[in-house]
Amino acid sequence: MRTKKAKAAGTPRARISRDGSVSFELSVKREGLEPILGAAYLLTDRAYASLDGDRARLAVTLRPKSPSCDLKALSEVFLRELETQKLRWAIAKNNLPVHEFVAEQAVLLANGRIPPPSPPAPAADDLSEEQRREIERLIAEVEEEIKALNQKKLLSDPNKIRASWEERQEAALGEPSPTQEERPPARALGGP
Amino acid sequence: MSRLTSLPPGKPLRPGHLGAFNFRDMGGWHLLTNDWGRHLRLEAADFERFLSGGIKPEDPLWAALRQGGFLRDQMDFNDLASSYLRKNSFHWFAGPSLHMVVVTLRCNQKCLYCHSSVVDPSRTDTDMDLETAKRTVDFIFQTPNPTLCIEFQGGEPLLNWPVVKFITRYAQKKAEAARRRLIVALVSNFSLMSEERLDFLLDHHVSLCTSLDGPPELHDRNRPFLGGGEAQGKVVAWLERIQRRCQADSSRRAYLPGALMTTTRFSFPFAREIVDLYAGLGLEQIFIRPLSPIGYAKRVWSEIGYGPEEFVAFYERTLDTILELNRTGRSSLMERTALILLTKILKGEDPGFMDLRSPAGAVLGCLAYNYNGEIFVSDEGRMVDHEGDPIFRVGHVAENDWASVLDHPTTRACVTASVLENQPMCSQCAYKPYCGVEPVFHYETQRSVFGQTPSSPWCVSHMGLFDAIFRRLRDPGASAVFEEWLARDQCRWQENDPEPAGEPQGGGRAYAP
Amino acid sequence: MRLEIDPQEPSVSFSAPKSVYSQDGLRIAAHVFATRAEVLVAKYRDSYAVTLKSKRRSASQADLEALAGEFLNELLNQEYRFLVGRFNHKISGLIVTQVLLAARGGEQAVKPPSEERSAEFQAAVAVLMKEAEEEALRTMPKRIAPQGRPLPPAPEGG
Repeated sequence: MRTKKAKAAGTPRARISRDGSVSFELSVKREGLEPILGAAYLLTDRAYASLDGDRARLAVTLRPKSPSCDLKALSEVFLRELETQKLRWAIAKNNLPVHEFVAEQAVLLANGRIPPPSPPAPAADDLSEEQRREIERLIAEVEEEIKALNQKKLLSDPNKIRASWEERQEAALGEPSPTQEERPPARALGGP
Repeated sequence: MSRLTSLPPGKPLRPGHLGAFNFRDMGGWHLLTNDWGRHLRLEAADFERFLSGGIKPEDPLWAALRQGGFLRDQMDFNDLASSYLRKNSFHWFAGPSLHMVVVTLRCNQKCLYCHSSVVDPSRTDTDMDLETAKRTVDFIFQTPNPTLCIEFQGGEPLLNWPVVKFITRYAQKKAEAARRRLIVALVSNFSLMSEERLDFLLDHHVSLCTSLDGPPELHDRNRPFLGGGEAQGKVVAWLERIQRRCQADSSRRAYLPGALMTTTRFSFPFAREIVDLYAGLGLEQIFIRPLSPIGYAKRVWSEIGYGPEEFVAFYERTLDTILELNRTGRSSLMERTALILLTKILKGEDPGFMDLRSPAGAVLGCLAYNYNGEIFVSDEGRMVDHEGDPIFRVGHVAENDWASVLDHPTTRACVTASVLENQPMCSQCAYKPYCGVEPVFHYETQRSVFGQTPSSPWCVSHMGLFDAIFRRLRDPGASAVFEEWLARDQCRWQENDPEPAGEPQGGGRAYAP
Repeated sequence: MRLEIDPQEPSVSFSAPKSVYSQDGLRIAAHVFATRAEVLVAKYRDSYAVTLKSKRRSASQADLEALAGEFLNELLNQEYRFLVGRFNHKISGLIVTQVLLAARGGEQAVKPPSEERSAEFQAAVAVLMKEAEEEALRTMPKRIAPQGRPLPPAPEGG
């Protein structure tokens, strides 16, 4: 269990300068490149943000646009945004395959390649006794199948959509995670 | 916190088990949404339990979270794909349906904010001539959408009446031959309307819309006539006249005229009076829209403009006035911005509003044709050209075909720039499933079609509008009014109009000019 | 980040590390700022030396600091946009491809129906144009100037 001091040591500290700016030294590995850029970016409506450093450590400096802006409050906002960005990016990475899959499914649906979802089943009150018994029998059969499938760890998830990003990375067995150097070059915009 | 809002500090999280969603702190409660258009309101404590993985199947919230697609291991992909498809139905549209034809730049008014950058009525060199008009219609019919809407704009279109008539008749003839659905609309200040012109327009099923900014002291200030004179009285008189004619003929009831208001700084003290005027005239809808600093309006922004927060405050005041009238039964007036947002939020459908699509409707949903045959991504793009920057011009009716307009680099840039997945802040915003960005607006205000969202006035105002609607959805009284509006919404009535395109009713009448 | 300000020029210079900022980002930011400043960039091993020469005739220290700050914000805007764009490239590519393909409306261009080539149709259109011309002559003010260059002939078939 981490001590309070150790925990505090992991929290980025704000350094308020006499020149009217506040800066943070951030570990890219601990905080994540995307959350760092994201938190700085979100505050460009009220501050000028500059970045310096390397792949391991980034220094973010915020200089308020308005001279009346409280630097301590600004630093607290940045740190809160940083934590929030970590969650937002974790959700985005974990669920990127979901987004892509559903968009692809929508295209297939639009082109008639897959059937539309079934209409909802009739309300329970509308069912006859025979229908009710049949449904209970089917439910019991399906429950048995699911138990068997779970034991074999075969979910209907051929693309591991439901697996988290971390689980898929682990399953990749030694494939390195993408790093900044490996990113493909930026695309140029079309223009007249 | 930032405008995206942030998490309460120090709360436990289990991101590995969370499904796909964006969230927004609404002050005491949280809004969850996902890319498939589902939304859910959670009280603060429930949101924290959700984030920490504390919602179990026996929890009352579990069913709602599952239904919304917010539980990672309970997602019905087919159902979500179906929602996505319905919400983004325009992704599958075959080209633009709205074609704005500027038949002249001449106008007899000099509105303070006029985007259209009008010219003096003597400038007949800015009238669309017949050959250009014919080529414009021919080009429109090259675009593949089975439903076409030709909307006459200007200047004041009635100043080029022969061309308005020609385009209407020629287009209806082509529509009949090609078995395509055609809607024709006219946006006019009504000051040059006459009974004979009205006969023609009604007989040819032309929808009519005018500008009505508010009571005379406001409207006449915003929209003075060249040479003076009271404009508002004429607008109101013709509105009432056209309403009476449409109501007297059951076949014309679907063509009741509409009115639009433009908000300037001078509108702010008149929220109540504007609403009372629209309600008193029996108009079905009012559309509270912000003024954009585009084209000519950019030059005079310091005199007539305002910040996005000011507009949102005005919008909320006006909306509350309208809701109060509805709740007390004194009027059934609907507000169009609310209708557009509610159609997306509650019905999960696309309301056909070009500016709130991802990608935006520029070229894909609409085109603007200048009097000289030049084609632009939108009417705003045409206004930018009028101020000397041709960047949004994508072709000419006599020189280009539809494929070359679609392949134009500016088209591609506008499409790419307005996909919200490419916008850093938008891609994380709770309003992403319902919102959109406008490349021309960002080019004019931030010098880039992508813009810079944190400081974008577009973002500030639209976030404010969504906040206003979602907050009012929590109020049962307001929510009931919204549901009633959605049930009544006529925004797609023309698509359901059984009247076929082609020859007018009672054909063969001679129309005097 | 250290700013070097020259109020006489007026200009402001600073160093942008290559570890954070890219040439593409600089180029796009320079375009965005084209109306406000001339942007000069020198490449070094680990950084770019950026100079913004304000297009205003005079600028105070505060103006130049703000100019540099806004430029750095625009640089961050571009870099973060690249990152987000790369992350979502598959789904945004799917959307852009889908909408452009759908908008094309098929492999073949929309051709006017054969009825439009009939003599009857052409005659009816000619009547419409003649009526409109006559009405324009009768009712419209005379042109004060020709409307620009003549149009090329219409393509075959409409």
